[in-house]
Amino acid sequence: MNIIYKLLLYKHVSRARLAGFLLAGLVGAGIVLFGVQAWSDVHPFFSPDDGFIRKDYIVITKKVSALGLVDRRASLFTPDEQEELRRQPFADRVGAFTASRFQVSAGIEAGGSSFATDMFFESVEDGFVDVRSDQWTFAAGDAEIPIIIPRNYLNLYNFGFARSRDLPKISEGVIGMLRLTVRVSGNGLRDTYKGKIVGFSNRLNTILVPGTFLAWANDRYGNSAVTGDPARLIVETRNPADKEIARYFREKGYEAENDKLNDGSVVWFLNLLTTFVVAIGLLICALALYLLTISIYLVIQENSEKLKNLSLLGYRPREIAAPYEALVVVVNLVVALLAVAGTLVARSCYIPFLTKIWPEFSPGGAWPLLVCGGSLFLVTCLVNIVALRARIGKINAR
Amino acid sequence: MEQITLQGALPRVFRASFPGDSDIWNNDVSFSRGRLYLVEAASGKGKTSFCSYVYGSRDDYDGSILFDDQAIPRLSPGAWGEIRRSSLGMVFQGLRLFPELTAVENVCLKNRLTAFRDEAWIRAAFERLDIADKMDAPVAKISFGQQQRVALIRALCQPLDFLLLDEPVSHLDEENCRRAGELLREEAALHGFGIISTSIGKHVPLPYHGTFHL
Repeated sequence: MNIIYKLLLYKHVSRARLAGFLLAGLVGAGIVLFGVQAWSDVHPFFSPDDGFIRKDYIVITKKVSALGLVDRRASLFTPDEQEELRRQPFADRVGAFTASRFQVSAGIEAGGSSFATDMFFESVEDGFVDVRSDQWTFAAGDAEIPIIIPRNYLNLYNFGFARSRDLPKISEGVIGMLRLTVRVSGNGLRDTYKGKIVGFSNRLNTILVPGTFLAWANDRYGNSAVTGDPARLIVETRNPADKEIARYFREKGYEAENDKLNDGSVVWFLNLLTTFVVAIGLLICALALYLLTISIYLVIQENSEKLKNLSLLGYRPREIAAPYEALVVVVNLVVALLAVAGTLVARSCYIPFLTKIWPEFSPGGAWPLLVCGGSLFLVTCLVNIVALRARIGKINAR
Repeated sequence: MEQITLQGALPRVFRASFPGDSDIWNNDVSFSRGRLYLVEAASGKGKTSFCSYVYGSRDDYDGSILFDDQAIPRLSPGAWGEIRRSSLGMVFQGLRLFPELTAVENVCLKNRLTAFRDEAWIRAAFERLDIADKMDAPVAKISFGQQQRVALIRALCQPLDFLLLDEPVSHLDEENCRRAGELLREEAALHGFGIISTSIGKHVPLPYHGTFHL
């Protein structure tokens, strides 16, 4: 063993104190690393950029009240109301759903038997449609109408109806091959078109046709007595957790369709929880760091005569500090490695669970853990070493 | 370093009651490299203070001490480290050995800084001073006289311009005193360093060039 290490460290550093630091440091670093890694694994579910929960778009309606029976206009958005909504800071874009003002029925003919139902169409500006298809066009005179239906409908059929009747499940591809017979009537006209389902929307809960078709068809078949004001609007926003949105909607009596707004509070809660957990972890880390620094101060104090003698022998302050610095680096490295390993083990426990409840879940890398562990290691070493050198410099000064 | 100069240096504790009969205190004195000096005094005249001031471990004095032209209070801890490993050595009255290390480890603790001596030289020095059998004994377990010889060997493990000896042979018998003197004289002649040795009575037998009374 190097003599100076033997002189300064061997039998002079209390194992109990070291063990205390190891334990405290491990708990602190473990909490910080686990908090950061768990947050980075889970937050994509709640993130606006990801597809799992879309929170960029809020579809709003007016509250349906008894008054609506008398005055149908009460549930429509007037141009003034739309304009005011557009001016709100949270609204990046506002789109209106246009409804069909004519009679529509659609049916399927298969194997001699046929099935048809009355229905309606809506359209919205293409920028709000979350399905990209080159078939999503209509020009006056076309015989085929592209249609987008909510993915829910297919799921309802496949997982509800088909299962209960022991019918085969239908894939999206098969649906795309179906040809619907769409009968449109109004203004004394009656025409038949082919309908083709070109996609499934997660965002828009309606039966959607291209705006060009609806404008043309409303003009041709539409009942001009029915107002063209929309009953539903779609709002694009950067931050659905913005409290201003909820306040504005409440004040105006608008309702957000499904609970998109709540996703914001889930994200908010997740962030708060993570911040809280990480803050506690950091606090414990800081206390552990303090403990280690104090322990080293104590060792230096206990050995101050020895350090003084070394300096009189010609040892420079840096050379005297070196064994302590090595100790600090090794101890902090052990803490960091154990904390990283512990978090990896914990992660391997919760990943299968997450995969079970979210089948789309694909775990990100463990890099937040490694980056965080590495930085924690560097910061603790730096703080310790700076404190140490200052202390030894003081003893050495004379 | 060629010269150590004291200009009107006086320990502050002597300020009030200094009788003015010292060759060194409150005088201008120079010590030159390559020469051997004896500083004699009764107890309490400030021998250890003198060594500590020159070695830079204390600065509670008035006047000034210079290494060549440099006033020493201006030296940084790092610069002192450099001087103490390449130019100025000292055998402390209290020795300042590390009791938990063995005799040879105490010597190597210095020699690893300077790499000035090889193992053979160190072993030979232990043999010459008649403590070869104590090389691997913990310093806490050997007598003060033996410790004095370990400290002497340690002090020689570096390039020197000056070697300060603070009562280095107070616990040695005549024979060991002679051996120590011989080793010091040879080394000083070989490497050309100066020696400033203090004594309250028993001093290292050396052909001194000058004697001062504190």
